[in-house]
Amino acid sequence: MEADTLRGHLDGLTLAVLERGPLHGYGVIEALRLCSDGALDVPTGTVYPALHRLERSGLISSSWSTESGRRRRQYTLTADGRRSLERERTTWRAFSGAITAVLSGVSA
Amino acid sequence: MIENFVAELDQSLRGPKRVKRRLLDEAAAGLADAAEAYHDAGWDKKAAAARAVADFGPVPEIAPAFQAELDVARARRTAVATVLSMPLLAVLWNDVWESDPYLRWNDLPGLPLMLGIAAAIVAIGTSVAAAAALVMTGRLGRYWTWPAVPRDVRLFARTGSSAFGVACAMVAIGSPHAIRWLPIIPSALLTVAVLSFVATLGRQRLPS
Repeated sequence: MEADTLRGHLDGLTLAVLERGPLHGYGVIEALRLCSDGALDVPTGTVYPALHRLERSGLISSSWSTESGRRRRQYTLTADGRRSLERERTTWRAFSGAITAVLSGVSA
Repeated sequence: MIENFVAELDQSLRGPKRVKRRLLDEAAAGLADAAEAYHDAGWDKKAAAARAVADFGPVPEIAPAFQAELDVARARRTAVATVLSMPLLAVLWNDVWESDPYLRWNDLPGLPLMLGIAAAIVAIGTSVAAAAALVMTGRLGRYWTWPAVPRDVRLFARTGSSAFGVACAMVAIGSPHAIRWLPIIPSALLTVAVLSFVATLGRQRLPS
């Protein structure tokens, strides 16, 4: 999938993978790949500024953790982030439903 | 290879050191994790590092997203300085004026008084605008985007500092006796230093 197509949805996708539990930066990237069966393959460099932006907005929080002797910043979805994710889901369902209805009608 | 890539990214970015360090440290850690994952999957170390760097994206493509965060961080720092400096300087000058035996607001001629009041209102307005920028780039940033915030906050800081300077200058022009009063000199020097700092805080810096 085109990186430009995904970029507008990166915040919502990031919140969604963090809903299952705290992850560090690379964990978020791996989760995006795994959940989409490899279809969501954004340049991994775009994820770190997105995480910083989401934290600034209070949708996720972060803390340092040590894994295998390495220090990593671990991100957790906040209550505000959970609410924002729900809104994102509702908007997406309405949008994708409308687009599907139109495209199905055109092809029929 | 990863070190060279992070160094190249570092060179292409400018902004507050602490935020830049954090972003670069996280990028380096993520690249190390990715290289390790490829290595565990059977790639040799050099190829694993090269693949991790390729996945990360070329510097010209990914640097703008990093730079945008640094620009917002710099704008927020400038906004804090603008919001804090104006009221603190206003309190300082209020104390100076109240204890100045030569200066009375009522004695100021009409034009300097009007210009001084207008400049003070502009300074207060820019301080309020900077506070709004601070809020909107923080928790409220999830609802609205303010793409030009780095440029606008720089404008608020410069306009507010200039306006405050004009307000002080109007007092000096309108009441020449006041500037003979000794305590006004250190106050004026402190004000010039603070306003110069605030006015130049948000300026663009060349990559270090």
